[in-house]
Amino acid sequence: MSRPAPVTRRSAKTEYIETDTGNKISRRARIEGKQNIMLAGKSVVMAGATLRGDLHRKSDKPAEGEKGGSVTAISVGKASIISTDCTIRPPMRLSRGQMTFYPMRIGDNVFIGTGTHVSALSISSHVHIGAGCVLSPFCVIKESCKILPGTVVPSHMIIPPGSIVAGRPARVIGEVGEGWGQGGGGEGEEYVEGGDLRPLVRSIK
Amino acid sequence: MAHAFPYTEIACPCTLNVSAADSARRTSVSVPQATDDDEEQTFNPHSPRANFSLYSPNDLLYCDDCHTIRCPRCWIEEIQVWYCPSCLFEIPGSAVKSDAEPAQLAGPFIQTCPYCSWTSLDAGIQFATSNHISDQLLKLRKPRSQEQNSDEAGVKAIVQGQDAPPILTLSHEAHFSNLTSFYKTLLNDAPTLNPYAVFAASPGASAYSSPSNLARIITMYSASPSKNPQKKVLPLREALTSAEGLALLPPPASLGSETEIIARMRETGYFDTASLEQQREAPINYEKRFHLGKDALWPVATLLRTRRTRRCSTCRHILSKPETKQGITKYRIKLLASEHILRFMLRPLNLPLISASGLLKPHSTILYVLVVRNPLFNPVKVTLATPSTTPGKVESRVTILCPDFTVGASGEGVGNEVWDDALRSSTSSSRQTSSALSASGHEGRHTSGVGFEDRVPEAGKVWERGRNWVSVVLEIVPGSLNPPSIPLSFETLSIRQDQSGTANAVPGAMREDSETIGEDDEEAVLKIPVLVRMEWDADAGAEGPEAGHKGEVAKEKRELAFWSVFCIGRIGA
Ligand SMILES: [Zn+2]
Ligand SMILES: [Zn+2]
Ligand SMILES: [Zn+2]
Repeated sequence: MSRPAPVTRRSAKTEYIETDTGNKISRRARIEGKQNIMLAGKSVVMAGATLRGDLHRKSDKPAEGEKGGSVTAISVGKASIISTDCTIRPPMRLSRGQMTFYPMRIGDNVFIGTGTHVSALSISSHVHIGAGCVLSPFCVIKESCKILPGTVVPSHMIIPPGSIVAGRPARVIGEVGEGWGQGGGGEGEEYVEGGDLRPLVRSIK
Repeated sequence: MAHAFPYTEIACPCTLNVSAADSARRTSVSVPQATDDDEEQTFNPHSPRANFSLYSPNDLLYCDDCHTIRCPRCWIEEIQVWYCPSCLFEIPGSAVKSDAEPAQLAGPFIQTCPYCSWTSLDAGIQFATSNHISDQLLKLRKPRSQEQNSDEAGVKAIVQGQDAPPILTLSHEAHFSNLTSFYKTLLNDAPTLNPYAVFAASPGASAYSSPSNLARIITMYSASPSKNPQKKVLPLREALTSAEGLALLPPPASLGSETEIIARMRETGYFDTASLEQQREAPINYEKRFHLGKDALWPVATLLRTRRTRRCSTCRHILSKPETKQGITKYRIKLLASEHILRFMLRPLNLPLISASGLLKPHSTILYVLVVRNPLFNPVKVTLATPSTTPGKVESRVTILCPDFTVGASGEGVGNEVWDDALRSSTSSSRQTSSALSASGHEGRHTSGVGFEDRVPEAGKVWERGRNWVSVVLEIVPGSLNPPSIPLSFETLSIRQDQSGTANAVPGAMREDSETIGEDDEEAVLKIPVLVRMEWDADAGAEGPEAGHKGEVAKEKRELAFWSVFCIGRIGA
């Protein structure tokens, strides 16, 4: 795990800034609270995406004078892709009379489609999320799920592993088969939903 | 499920009985001759039946005993584990039918919907404990249905007055029990007439368990006319009165008349009405019109989910078996079809020919590259056959420029392959991912490979070749959605005649009554059926007795044929 902070600027003209661990962050992405966002490596944040790392649990010190750069608000695993115009916003709720934010975890090889709003508590690995979805606060997406475009997952909903989910509100409409995420990765082969996203990450320039 | 074009599907051979030997004669150049046998005819992806035999390659399994593809229609399932979809807690098989929930907290509980803010209080439901919800619901429901039911004798009395329309004040439970007893008496009265009587008589027991039952079933299905002409065969009738379980629409008077419902809707608004989907969820809610009040939707139990073992229905071989440990979603055994049969991938050779709307232009030739990838450790001889005009209402012309070729073996280690391909793709990469990027709203600039545009595809030659993959070019002329009532040219006419050899297949005759096809019509999707035949020398039974020294493994000829469907895209008007 490393942070995207030390950026190697090779040329000012590229769309993406590549970090030491191979993360690709679009220059047109909106990243708030950088120090609270962890990207494990080889992950992509595309143009127009908003990451609200500034929404994190305040340290126990009573005053607003926040110093704790060590608080993680958003952590993203390896080879995950956050597409254009997504919003990643840690969930919050009232706790002992105070609005408290909860850290969000996104696993490895997670694809989040364009324009999707994410306030989930966690998204496990090998999950494919279509475009224009809403993942309401505190929902939990277990591994190897497929969320079809335009789905609205209600808050606190738990989606069991291997589910195909659609609708407003979201319902489990099927199961991904044994072959979920299999194949792909080779030349001449399309990347596979739920599979290894590294070839796709590699191709994004 | 919605896919992004282009994509491929596979028809499981179990639905079609394709014989591999027969397919050998077919190639893209020589159109298959029509035979008397229906099953040998071209697979029509637009036929309503195709829906039930086409699968995404990733959803299919492979039986390595029968050496063939297996689909949900030819595998059987055994439930290994039941679990709750919300808390993921596994429930032992013995407790599945009871109400077993782990959590046990005290205090009044309600159910809430985080999406629409409905709570069970809206329907006047509150729980004493957080577990045994179904039991509690049942107990809460009993007094209500009794109150609704006034008393059963009264209901019957009203019904028996034949002239008056039957007043239905029966609850769902009463309807159900009436209907059940009605069917039971019906079957008991005429047990010899109906094979289903067998099931009613011995629930749970197999219909084929007793010889007399078996004999009865055989008589039912045998084509010979009734052996006992003196016995009149009475057709089974349905329930006629509410005492027999008949439920009539419009809804019972107890729920209020239509005008009352309208008045209430006017008052409470659209959002308080139950959707059709909610009503259909369970019989208990069929007549529920609102979210609130004593006649509101009733909560329905969540079904448990399962993890299942799949077996070949022919030889009982295990095709997939999930890991038994809780919380682990991996498989202990899985025989994926995609690891045993050729994998296909399509991409346009020259993108600009697809119009900005994403629709295919009728009558303009487009070229697609078909990449055929071999997952096996032995080289495979491949034959692709397709009818020169696609079946269905829209006739598109298709030519596979190189229908016969051999694909090399997949490498020993997956690692090798990945490295090979990584090196290869580092030179000309962006091609295969452009569609992925455009799908994610990213304006992917389509850069075709270096110098590829200048090359002209040649008939009989493969386009590109890698270690375990070959690509060939498909020439496609999309047909028109609204063809003129006379054939476009003599050429198309002659092809039709060639193909079927029968007079009624002349396009002009076929289209006389044809309606125009809209862009949204299923028939407007260009689908190419391709009969794929693979032949290879497999290493004969790895478990067999010493197959000689290293390098002298006994070989065994194998072949497999199946229909695949290439879905290219929608044709524009
Ligand atoms: Zn099958
Ligand atoms: Zn709701
Ligand atoms: Zn088998």
